[in-house]
Amino acid sequence: MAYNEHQSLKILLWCVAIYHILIGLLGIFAKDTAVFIARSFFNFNLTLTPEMNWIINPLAAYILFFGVFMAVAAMDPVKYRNIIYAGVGLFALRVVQRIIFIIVAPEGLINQVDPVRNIIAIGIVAIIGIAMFVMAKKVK
Amino acid sequence: MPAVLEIATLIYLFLFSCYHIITGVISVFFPNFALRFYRILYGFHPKETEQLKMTLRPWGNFAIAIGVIGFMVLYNMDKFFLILFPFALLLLIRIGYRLKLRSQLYRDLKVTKVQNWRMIIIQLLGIILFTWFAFSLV
Repeated sequence: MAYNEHQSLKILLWCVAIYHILIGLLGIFAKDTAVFIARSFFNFNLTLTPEMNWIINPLAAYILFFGVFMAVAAMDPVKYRNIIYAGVGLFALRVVQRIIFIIVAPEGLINQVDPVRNIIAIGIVAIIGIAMFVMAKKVK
Repeated sequence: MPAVLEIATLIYLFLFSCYHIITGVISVFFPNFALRFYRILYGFHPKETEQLKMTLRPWGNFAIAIGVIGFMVLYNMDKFFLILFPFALLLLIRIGYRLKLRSQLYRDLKVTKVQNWRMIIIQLLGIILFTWFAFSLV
């Protein structure tokens, strides 16, 4: 049982790591894809102004390194349990963040998509965060 | 490792973590203030701010997470010192785009050469300290 949870947590952490590392690398080395990524993954109608072209650099770098930290945690979830908790905290913030974005973002910045899709996206982030927290707490 | 460099690394890591948590929190919760703060800190003078404020929020989330991890390393250096290598690499990437896109930084965000090089030197110092410290514990 403990072995299964250990493995499940590792697989989940690797998925989270690979997702963030890929998005981060694309943001740094393939800025042309930023508009597509923002629209597809974050429901954000991005227009590449000079300011946005710049801010994508630190954003992508931090996404990339969050992925690296999740990969480190995946290698030894017991040793790096606290880092997993930091990741869970980030996921919680992102859920709040997405809700705030939907409420306060000017009409033009929100991609016109089915609200159900928004709820599903928030739900997925919340479920991953909760799963990481529960498994990290149990794993020995 | 000489004691003075060890103390310098710990102080740098403390400031690095504080910086990320403070800038993360203001970016997430007070983006208008964050823009003023970055104007003072980095010399950024952006024209278009609506999208920028929306993008500062997710950046702030990640910055908070990095700051929290920084404090975890600081309080348990023996266990987590290897994390200093990714921190050094993060600073290296930040230097990389400051150098590669410096003309854009001067032209579009009105950052001066002095302001840019000041940040590069601060980040370079972090790379040296983090790498040196981590290698001394390997």
